[in-house]
Amino acid sequence: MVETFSLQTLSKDEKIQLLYELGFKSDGIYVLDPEGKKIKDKYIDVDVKLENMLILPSSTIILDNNPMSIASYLEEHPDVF
Amino acid sequence: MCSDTYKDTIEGITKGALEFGENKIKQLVQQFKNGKLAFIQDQETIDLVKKQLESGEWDLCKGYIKDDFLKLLVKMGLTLRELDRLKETKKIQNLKQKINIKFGPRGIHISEIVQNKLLTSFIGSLAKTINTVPEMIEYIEKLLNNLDNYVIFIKNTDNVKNIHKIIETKIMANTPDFLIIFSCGSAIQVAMTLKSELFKMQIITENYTVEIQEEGTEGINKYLIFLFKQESNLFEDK
Repeated sequence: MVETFSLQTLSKDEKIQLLYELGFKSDGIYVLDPEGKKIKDKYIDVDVKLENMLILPSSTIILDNNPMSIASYLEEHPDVF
Repeated sequence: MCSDTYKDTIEGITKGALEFGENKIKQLVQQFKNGKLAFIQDQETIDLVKKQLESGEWDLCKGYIKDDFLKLLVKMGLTLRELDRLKETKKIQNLKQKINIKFGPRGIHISEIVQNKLLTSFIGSLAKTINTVPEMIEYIEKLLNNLDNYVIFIKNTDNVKNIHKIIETKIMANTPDFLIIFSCGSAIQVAMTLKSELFKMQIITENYTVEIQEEGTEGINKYLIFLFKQESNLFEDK
């Protein structure tokens, strides 16, 4: 099990810096890949917003914060939480 | 000079704060890269999902549902029920929206029959008739993949004669292995009247076993009628 850190404690700028350190970007609203394309939640195929993102271990998975994405992630990574 | 000192101090504090912030982020990133950290929004959403995965009801359902798509929707149905219990209306709407985006109305309907306990009621009734796990799986996945064929939802505005006709048509057309008639709240009265009519239908009395399930802690708030094809026909190949 990993420790969790709530992104709600970070400012918008800090979240953007975090993404930058991980090799991603943001336009202030959406999470972007290094080429500037919007990152999609791999389980529900929606664009991930900066204010609602999850960044989870195992190849740096960026998801939208919702039960369906979390359940799908846990199905593949049952020991993370 | 005083104001220069003050300005320098402020700039120093700001620079220090920014560097502190940057360092903090770098430290968090390092922990993440070491596999020791996950960045989440709130623990509540994760706990909500985990609670359903640890529930006895999920333990029961997962033994009979092998399809990944259906498994996920069953989990979402359990989650919707919990959110309903917590009166989290906005979260329910958001989750249903996500289900709809990914799976369309079909996904919503499947998760709703889990939410309103119709699936577990069906499993309970089916277990009295079906002897093997593979057959249970077959019937349960048949239900979830074909809700329109197997489930009739009664509304309080429905006419008993019309429902009677619908049931007759379904049986004559497909001779389904089972049919479920679901009602809740003010629709229950319609279902109870329908039940009396069903026992007068020869096509039902000769071919189906009728089982009634009533649920509710203070009075009946759900009323289900299960029709199962009688044992001698149940294992016929189609």
